[in-house]
Amino acid sequence: MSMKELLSKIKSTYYRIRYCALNRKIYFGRNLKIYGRLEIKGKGSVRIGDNCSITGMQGERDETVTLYTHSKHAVIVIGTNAMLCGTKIGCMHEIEIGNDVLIEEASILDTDFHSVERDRSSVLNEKRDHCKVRIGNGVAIGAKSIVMKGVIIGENAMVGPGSIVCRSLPPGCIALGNPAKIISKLNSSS
Amino acid sequence: MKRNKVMLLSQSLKRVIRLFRKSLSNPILACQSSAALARGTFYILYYKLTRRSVKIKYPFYAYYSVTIRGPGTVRIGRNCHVYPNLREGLRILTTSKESQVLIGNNCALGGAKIRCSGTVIIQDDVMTANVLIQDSWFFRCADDQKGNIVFVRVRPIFIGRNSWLSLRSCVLGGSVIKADSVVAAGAVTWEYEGKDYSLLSGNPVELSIPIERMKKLLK
Repeated sequence: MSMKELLSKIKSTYYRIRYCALNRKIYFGRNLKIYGRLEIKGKGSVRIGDNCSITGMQGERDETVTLYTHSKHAVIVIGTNAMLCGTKIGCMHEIEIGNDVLIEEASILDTDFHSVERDRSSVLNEKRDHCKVRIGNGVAIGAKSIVMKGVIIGENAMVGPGSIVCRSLPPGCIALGNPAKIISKLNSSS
Repeated sequence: MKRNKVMLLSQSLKRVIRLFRKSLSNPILACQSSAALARGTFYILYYKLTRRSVKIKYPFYAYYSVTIRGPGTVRIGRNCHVYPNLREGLRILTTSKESQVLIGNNCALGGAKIRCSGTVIIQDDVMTANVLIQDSWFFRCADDQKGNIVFVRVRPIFIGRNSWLSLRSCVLGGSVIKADSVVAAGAVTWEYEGKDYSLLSGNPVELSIPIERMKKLLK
């Protein structure tokens, strides 16, 4: 076993004690590897599947993965074999991330946090079904990109770096730009 | 030969005297730049001792932090400056031994993130703000199964001399930015070859406007 893996095991046991021991709503799967830093805040529930790895970009000052829940009913579900590198997630309703997912320094939000009224009070008409974010199996999302509320990204889709996704994408497509447009489609064989 | 040497010596003496006069007229700036020079020399010595593949030439002015990670070769030319830009300095990350980052002379590299697994060439007099220079779509894909897909593959990046990369722009694999051109704020270039002395804008960049023509339009 190399030094890096040993450090990751120590880190993962530390985070398990810190977050899972007292809070029943947070669950970590087996064989979780943590190379960077992890920060979980809020009263919602967080569930991370087996064999996930949480890393940060090397040499970066801010290499934390943040999973923030902003209400009691918020749910973040991450599947198995997922890889998060410096990802920022803010959740009010529900965010569901599938298996074998690669997400680099992107940020995922499922609310607007404020209304468009002049007093900027809490959001008025946001329903759980409309704002749900679902990311399918085998999706890859590049650095500096943003996934907005109510987006469903299909299986094996790719989102390039620097793009902003505000409409849902079909499975097996490749998207880039602001707003994210479909450039081409992947073959089913590859 | 002797005469040449004498000429060089006299020139350098003149330069030193000029610098001394400048520092007397503006002592705060002189203090800052001398501190940056000291920090830069510290970085040069540090990377000379710890990494054989990294070579930085003297003088190197580091006003903010410089981090270089990974086994690839990194070359930084003479008289480069690293300014603080959105509280971030220069960060270079390489994946393999074949990957190389070549940076020319007189560059101002504030807040640049360079993530390289192929080749990245930056020529002289380039100015950068807080930008991302990455030669593949997904940097972590080497460990993953997605490496063999066409869109993810690594392509070289070329940034010509005297070009200016502005705030929050991304330069991705296969993009060629030619001399004297400007990349607009928030622009993303990917597999795009611009013209000389032109403005690249949009996300993703689809057209490059020659700056000569733009000046005429503004008049």
